[in-house]
Amino acid sequence: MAHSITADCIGCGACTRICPARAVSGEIKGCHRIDPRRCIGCSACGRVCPAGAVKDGNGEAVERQPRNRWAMPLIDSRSCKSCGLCLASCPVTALGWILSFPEKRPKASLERPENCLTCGFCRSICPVGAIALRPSAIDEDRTLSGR
Amino acid sequence: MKPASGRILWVDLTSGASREEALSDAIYDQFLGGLGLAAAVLTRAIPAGADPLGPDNVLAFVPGLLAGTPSFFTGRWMAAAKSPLTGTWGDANCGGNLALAIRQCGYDGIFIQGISEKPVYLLLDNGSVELRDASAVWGKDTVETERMLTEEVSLPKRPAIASIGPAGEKRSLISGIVNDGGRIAARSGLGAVMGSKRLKALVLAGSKPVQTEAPEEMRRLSRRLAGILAKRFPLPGPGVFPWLGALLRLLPWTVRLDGILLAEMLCRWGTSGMNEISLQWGDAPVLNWAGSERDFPLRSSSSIRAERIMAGEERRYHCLACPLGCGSLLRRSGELMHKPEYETIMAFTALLGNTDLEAVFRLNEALNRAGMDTISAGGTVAWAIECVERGILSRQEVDGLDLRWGNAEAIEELVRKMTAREGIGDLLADGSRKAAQRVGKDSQAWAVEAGGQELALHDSRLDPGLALHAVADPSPGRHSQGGYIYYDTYRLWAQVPGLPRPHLLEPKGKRFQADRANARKGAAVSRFHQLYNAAGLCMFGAYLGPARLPLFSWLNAAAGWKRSPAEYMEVGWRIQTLRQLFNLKQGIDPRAIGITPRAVGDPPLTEGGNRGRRAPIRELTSLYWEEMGWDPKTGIPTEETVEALGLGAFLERGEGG
Repeated sequence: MAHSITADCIGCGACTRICPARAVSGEIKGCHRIDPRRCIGCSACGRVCPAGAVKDGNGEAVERQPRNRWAMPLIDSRSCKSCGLCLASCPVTALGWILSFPEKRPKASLERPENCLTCGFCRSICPVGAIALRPSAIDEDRTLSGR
Repeated sequence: MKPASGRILWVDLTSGASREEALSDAIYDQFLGGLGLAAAVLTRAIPAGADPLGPDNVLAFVPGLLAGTPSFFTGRWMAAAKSPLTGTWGDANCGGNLALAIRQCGYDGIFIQGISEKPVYLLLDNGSVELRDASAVWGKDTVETERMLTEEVSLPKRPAIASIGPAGEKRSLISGIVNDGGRIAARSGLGAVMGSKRLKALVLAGSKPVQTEAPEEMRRLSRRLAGILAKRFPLPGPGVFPWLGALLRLLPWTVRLDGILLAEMLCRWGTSGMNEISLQWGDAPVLNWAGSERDFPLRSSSSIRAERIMAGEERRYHCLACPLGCGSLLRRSGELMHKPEYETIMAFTALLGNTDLEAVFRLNEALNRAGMDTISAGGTVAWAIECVERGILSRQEVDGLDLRWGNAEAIEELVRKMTAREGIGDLLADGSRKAAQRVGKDSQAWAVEAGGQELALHDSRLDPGLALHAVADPSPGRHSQGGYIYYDTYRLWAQVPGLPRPHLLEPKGKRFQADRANARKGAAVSRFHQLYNAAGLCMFGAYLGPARLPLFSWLNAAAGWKRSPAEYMEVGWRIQTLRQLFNLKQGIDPRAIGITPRAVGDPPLTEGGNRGRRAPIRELTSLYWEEMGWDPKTGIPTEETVEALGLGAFLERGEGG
């Protein structure tokens, strides 16, 4: 569901930097906007917005959260069926495989927690409900890798 | 309408323009998605008499309706177009990781028209459509292409890529489209269609989530299936398999197989678990369909034992959404490669009298990288060897190669020439029928095909249902369109009224009768296959049958429908009928689609488990047509059928192209 930015925007550009879909545009100190065709509804823009200026697809304000309180996927590897839907659903390649032995089967794991946007796409797509979102201690200073 | 986005993307490579088309809910109601959607669009969009390698042909990439929903076995993607190999409706089905990626770009299908002036690749993300210069990857193999394009686009998310290799670029009519390092949509020659358009690759990097009407219900159903699959069934080790195959051959009855045993086997050894059973049972054709299991006895068949195929396994490979993971990634000679599948192993061992397994690994990897169908490649090599053995082709005509049964070195060199279209390889790169037409001298008799496409490695003298579908399906020559073994495992009779229920043991001769019950089984399998190709289901999942694998319930939960199994079977019937109408529009006479007589026991084998058997293919085809509501004499869907399925009204509407 496409998000939108209200007139409360202060033009800091935090949303532009974090958006994994290149859906946000705007000049620094100017009001930003979200391209509804590009928006994937991950809410990352709202979670970093210091002005609380982002609304989700239902018109509800997205609450700002400090990065170290963002929920991270916790994957029950015993329930994981190795189907890969969670990895494919992740917009920032935060998930990866670890091998289980002796079966040599891949199991989903949070490989790059610093990338995670806490969008919850992995949890929504998991057919067996093997993924929960839990707060995780990530340094607030850490930014998305490579960006 | 959930879970569809309601939009498809059209890309015209001639002009470089793209456009989106919004589709009504009615099209999803009638055709679901996947191949159903492709049939709905292509039947209208491809003009009658279109050159399959010309600008008018449209190449479709479609995920099933359930792709990206919390369900299992629903990660198949399909390519479709008018086939340059058969001239008919052509489609090919693949695992890998592309199905959800199409959905994540916001589309239910991508449809490619026209021909680009120079090689290009198509890059999609969450809203952009971009054609980029592909000259740097033109000529590269599919694995290298994926690596180079992943680096070139350098996105936060690793993209899913489908590409053609040198075979598709050179418009080999037996080339396919490759995804995820070696999973190939191999059949129908669709790699040549992509090559003719100078489209090297699709690079998909969207992230849009897929919505469903009742996600919790979908998960409940999926958890139940996961519980069924978690139970382990005792199976003997692979050393017992040839004896099991021999027992099945010697029994006077056909045993109704249970899909859960096949699933267990796939889970442990992948498709190679079937190698020795199939050989000794009589399922795997030997020496270009002229031999029998006696020509590939136990000492030979142990060379392709499942344990040997699995040696060097680095890890299991799961296609998207698959809980079974029948694939493996092998480390051989330092290279990571996909494990060869049953079809490939048989095509380059039993079919050619070869016992050099190392050569099979090399051939599998070479063909995956070149983007060539291993089934058709093996069948075409078998034709060439038989032609040499019979004196139809001289040693000079095959570039001096010592082509004979079992000479792996010559076979490898011949395949290399085919993928490069070099020397004799240029003749063979378009498959056995085209080669036989050029060579003449009655060599057509040794090209084992149906409708121009080489038959897969399952013998219709064991299961004549395979021959029925190879001939009667609008996409001929395919083993994945139907057979009696599928009917047995699907157990549709438990959910769909009016379908015959086979006994656990039935006299083997019963399958060889051209009667109403067998035709009804064939029609039911056709409908179910088209349904699950519209949903995007894997055939190996379908083996479990809808009582275990909740296909109908998943569809209802995903889309908010309350349809019965019989209503879903009608969707499959509609799609199959539309595919037949596609062929009629293209001037195909269903009666003219033939199968090599040898493949149906004409003349019958004189030794081996299948000796004396003949599939009554013409009589059975006529009965099948009648069961499908098509004219039993011509194969043309009757007006009553077309109207009952709403196809007359659909074809008059202006939607889909």
